[in-house]
Amino acid sequence: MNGWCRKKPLEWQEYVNKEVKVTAAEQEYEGWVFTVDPVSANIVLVNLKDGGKASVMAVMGHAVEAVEVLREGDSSTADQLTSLFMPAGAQGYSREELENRKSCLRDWLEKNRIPFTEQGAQQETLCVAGVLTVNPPYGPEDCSSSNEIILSRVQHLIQSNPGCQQDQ
Amino acid sequence: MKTPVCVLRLPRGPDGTSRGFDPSSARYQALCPSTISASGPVDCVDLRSEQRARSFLRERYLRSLIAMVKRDVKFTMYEKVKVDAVFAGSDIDILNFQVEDLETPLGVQKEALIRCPDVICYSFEIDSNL
Repeated sequence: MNGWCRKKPLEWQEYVNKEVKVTAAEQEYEGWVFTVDPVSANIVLVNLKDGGKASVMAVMGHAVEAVEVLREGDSSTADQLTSLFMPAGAQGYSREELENRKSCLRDWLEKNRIPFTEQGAQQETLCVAGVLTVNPPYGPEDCSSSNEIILSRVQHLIQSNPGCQQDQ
Repeated sequence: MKTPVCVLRLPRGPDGTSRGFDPSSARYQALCPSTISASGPVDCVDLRSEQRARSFLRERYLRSLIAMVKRDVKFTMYEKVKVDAVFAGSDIDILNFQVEDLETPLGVQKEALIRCPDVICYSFEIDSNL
């Protein structure tokens, strides 16, 4: 294992949102660090191009010979990088909106006589019938369960929710 | 798109049974430690911030993998090998990538497994929905 792989996650995190030059197998790769995978030490570099495209290059951790920091990024670079990979529409829910969506789902589950509990540090996760969890923002795609049948039933149920006070 | 060739299999490894993917082989153990050790004896607060960093970094990496699915990816490997394929998935330790339509000098492999220790870097393009 080379020196890069032996670094700790806190050290790797220091490189995020910085423009770096990575030397690997006698080649140099430049780009903005989106992340460093803590399992494989792979460095994911992004270069934004004109025309609404971005080129993503990942250098495998085991191949990294040297990493040189070229530039620090500012908060707008950080936002740009983050928004590249987040699913569209994932951001933008305020705390009240999330609370409302949760209450809306809670009422719908109660109306359908489905047992559930609230879990998590801020009670943000709904645990349905002890086998399925729903995370914010409480849409059908935010359900997880190891039971396919229950997953599909609950997803359909959420989708058929006639709606809350606002949006939807 | 070229017609796929029939399935090619790697020759058997030195132990006579595996095809190079055996996680218990000496080669694998040497190249890919699959357990992530935390830093040495540290106090609770440091461990918590290390864990927070770990999950922050890992989540971002997993999202980058998700963004890669069904896209054309170029793999640069050792021995001056460069191949194109459509990314399908990865295993949890990032030791193998599953790809489809792997273009090789021998033809197009419909489904293939690429060993990550053989890869130097991979690249793809996405739309920056800005």
